[in-house]
Amino acid sequence: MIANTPMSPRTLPAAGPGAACSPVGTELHAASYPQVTPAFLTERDYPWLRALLDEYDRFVGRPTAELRARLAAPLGMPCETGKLRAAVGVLDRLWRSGIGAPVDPRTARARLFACATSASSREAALAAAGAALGVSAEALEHALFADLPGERLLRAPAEPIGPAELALRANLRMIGRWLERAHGVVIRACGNTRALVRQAKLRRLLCVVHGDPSAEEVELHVSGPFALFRQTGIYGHALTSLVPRLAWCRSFTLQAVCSVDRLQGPRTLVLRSGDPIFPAEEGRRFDSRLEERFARDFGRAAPGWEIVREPRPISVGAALIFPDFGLRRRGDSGPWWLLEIVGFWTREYLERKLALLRAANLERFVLCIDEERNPADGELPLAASVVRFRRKIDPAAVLRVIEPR
Amino acid sequence: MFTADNRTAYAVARRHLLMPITCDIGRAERDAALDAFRSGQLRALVSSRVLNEGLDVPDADVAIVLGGTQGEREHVQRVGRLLRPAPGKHALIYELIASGTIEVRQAARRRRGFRPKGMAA
Repeated sequence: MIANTPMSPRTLPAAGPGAACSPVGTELHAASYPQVTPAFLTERDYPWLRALLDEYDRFVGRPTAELRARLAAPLGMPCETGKLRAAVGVLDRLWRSGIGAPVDPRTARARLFACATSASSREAALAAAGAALGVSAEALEHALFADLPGERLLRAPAEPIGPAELALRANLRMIGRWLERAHGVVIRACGNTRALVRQAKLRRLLCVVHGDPSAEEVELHVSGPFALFRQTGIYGHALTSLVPRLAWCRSFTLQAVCSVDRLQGPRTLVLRSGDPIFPAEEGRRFDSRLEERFARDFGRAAPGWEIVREPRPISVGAALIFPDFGLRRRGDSGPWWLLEIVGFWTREYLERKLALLRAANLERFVLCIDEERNPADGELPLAASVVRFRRKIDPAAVLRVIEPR
Repeated sequence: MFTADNRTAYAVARRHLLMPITCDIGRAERDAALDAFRSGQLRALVSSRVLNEGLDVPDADVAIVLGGTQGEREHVQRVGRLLRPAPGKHALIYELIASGTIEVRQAARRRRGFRPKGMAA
């Protein structure tokens, strides 16, 4: 057991000079805190996971309240409470529930309770309402509250999962509980790193990338939810969803300074390649609706301009910048305009980014900033190369920046 | 009718065919039920807590408190909101208390400061 001194986030030790251009929260030095690795679910947990899956299967087609009552009792096999909670959380998301009634419960309630006001007895009210709705009195009673959370019927997922997958998903859920309380995260990855960086950008995380793209080694410094003031739940979810994508890289380490316990102080969560974490499928990893829409809208609004997606990253000091688009007037052999879409932001983060761009003399650079993703206090900094947007990027606003020059 | 929890509210709703007003019932449906109650299309409503605050139903003239465990303040809010005074109005509050149980003390506590003007408590 490593000794640990309680410490408030304001007094946390900072990292070295390299942290100067990192986003808020990542300046904390991960090595300063006791390291922890989650107690992952492994093969040893498969027996009780199998039993848990059997319980869910047994309650398919029955009200979810009955399953809840069953799960409130011991499972019948030894298992740790935290692990069980994580596994149940996963299954609750996979096993959906639905209304199993011959008549819409809202309609049933409206009709029956109105009939009950004038009917001579309960039976008469049920018979009258049932006749009006074309169902029997028993079916009407059954339908009356069939839409309430506990009354909805449990439905199995389209593709059943086994204990092994459940263990991996539960591990990811446990990691999510840590990352929801992270101040900052540093990811060092090797191999297929462009895809990882792109995923961080797609999630609009507050992120600065360092490293050598040609060597396929990068270091991502990502703010954690605890470094922000607003939208921390959404942000934490976005951050957690990056973890399954780490499996795409040849190797990685993740260090996150987290405050999970007020009494014990911050700790450093450490994840490495080979940890049993549910990997993401490599399906839709190269797309986002926002970018697709901008590419389409810009092509229509500015037919005289070329637009390319994902131009090569640019080294700026120790950091790397990954533009989302390159824009250039057709027939022009000059340098490209580069455009980056920024999601979550703080004033400090943007000012650092703009300073980086100025230091690199990148004049032909446009930052498109989502006005709705400011999880901290502070106004958007004024800069000629900043385009604000909500939901979609206006090509005309981008053209106003790039055309006069 | 006021109950201590949603479960009891649904049990009462099923048994006596009364529209429940709970957090599980959608806002639109709750509003429609309250409108129906005001217009006389529904004769009664049953609720655990949703009716406690933010609602006036001046036409209600009977309240039944069933197994309430809430304190004095909540009791005043519950009953006071529904039994709004009106000219010629005569209101009744029934409390169902199981003798020989903790409910007796709970009822005494919540009625401690409840002395509505012009009404006998």
